Amino acid sequence: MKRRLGVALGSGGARGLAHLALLEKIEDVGAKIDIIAGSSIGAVIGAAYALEPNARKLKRFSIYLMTKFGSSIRKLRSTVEIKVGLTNRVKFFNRLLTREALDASDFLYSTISQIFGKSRFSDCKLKLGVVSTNMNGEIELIEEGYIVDAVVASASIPGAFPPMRLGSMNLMDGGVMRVVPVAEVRKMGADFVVASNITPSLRRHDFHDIFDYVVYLDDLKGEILSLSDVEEADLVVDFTELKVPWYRFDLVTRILEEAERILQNHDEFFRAMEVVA
Amino acid sequence: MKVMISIDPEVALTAMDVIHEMNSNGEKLELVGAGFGALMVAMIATHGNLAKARRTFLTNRKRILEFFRWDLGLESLLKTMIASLMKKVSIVPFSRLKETVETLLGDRNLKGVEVMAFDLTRNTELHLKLGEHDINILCGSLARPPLFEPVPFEKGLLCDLSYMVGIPEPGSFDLLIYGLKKPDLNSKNAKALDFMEHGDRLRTFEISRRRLEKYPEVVKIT
Repeated sequence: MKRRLGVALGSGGARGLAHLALLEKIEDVGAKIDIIAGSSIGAVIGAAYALEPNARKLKRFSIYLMTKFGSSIRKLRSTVEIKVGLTNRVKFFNRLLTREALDASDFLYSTISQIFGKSRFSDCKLKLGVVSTNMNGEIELIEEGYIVDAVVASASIPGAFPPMRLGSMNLMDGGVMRVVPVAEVRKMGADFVVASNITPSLRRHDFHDIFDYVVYLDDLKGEILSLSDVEEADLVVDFTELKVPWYRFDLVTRILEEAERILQNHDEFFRAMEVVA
Repeated sequence: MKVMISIDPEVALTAMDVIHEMNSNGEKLELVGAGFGALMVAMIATHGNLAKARRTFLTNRKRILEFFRWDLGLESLLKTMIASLMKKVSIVPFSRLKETVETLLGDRNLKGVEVMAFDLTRNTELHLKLGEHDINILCGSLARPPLFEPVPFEKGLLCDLSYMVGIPEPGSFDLLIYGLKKPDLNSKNAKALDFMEHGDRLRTFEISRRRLEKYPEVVKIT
């Protein structure tokens, strides 16, 4: 009997573009994905792939999108990046304390709705799961309804983007509690799970201020969770060398190139895929 | 019996009662503390017995709760903003943490006190047996951001383990005394900072939840 191949795509903002390189490599070795689930950017890539399982096409589309949304991406960066100058820092704090989210431009919904339109989970060519964090501390696996709603909820980084209400759930970024949704892919019926982990391994001694320090600690917690998540995977593809900030979508080409280089030297990946394919 | 204590200051008295009860039942306990639990363990050791430590805690309860409190109230926020604008990594200077801790200890000899702290430069947890004068390490295990700055130790920096992961990996512990609040946020009227903070706390909560299942025995204080 054929083993059902599942792929769990992790959260991590722009670094998640590396998932595309992995999907392409899986296609190149002749393996076919049956189940895909993602958290945050992993949900964006996973959903797009589930609708149109063609990684090369998706890569071209991503590069096109990043160019098209160039000015929005630059604006997002200037909004969420912690600033150095005093005036800018005061403005940053003002936004943190007075707004529901740092980004007030509707960047997330407008971008994601242009990708998915009115597509539903039932339109997908492979089984799709989108993971989000419920404000009450539960991990939610969404498998039905409009894709755009689920994906926006899954990518709503707390503080940067507003939370999303979906039915009775108040949702935010899936990567808050489930960085790499291996458990969910398994639950959806996969026999062999490939985990794509894009959480960077950061080690620092110096911090600019309280916010820089606290954000660093939050990233370390993400790393701890991601390592725990991937324990249950059959194969882990680690893109932890990628050290790009989550909002640098403009670095799409560099991210893809680095991801391809990492995969090229991933002997374990090729051995495992030979068996699966 | 090796007991790990990870608690918020608000439930310290109840945790002391649990220990008292177990002592009364003839259990021989080896206490190890994380976060505020580390201070509690150090107080018990340096006062020589639980009753004296309890009295000291009761006498200073209001001051302790005030000193270790950080929330999203106006006062905490203002202090955070000012410290951050001044490019500091904490609200309270290390010297004040050290002074406060010293006033709560008995004879100040920390020899043999066991604490757990988090080394944030190596992303790893450390089980440390203190020497007589290791008050800086004790302060490191209490260094909860954004109130307190991390404390240098060997080539790393220590902070409060309970802030990072809630509870340590079970390792050789037979029992966990657990008294950390579940994060709760009323999202109506909440602002970006509230959501950011809530997400961060949920991460710690999730790490604890996964580890909690692996402990042989847990006493939960709510």
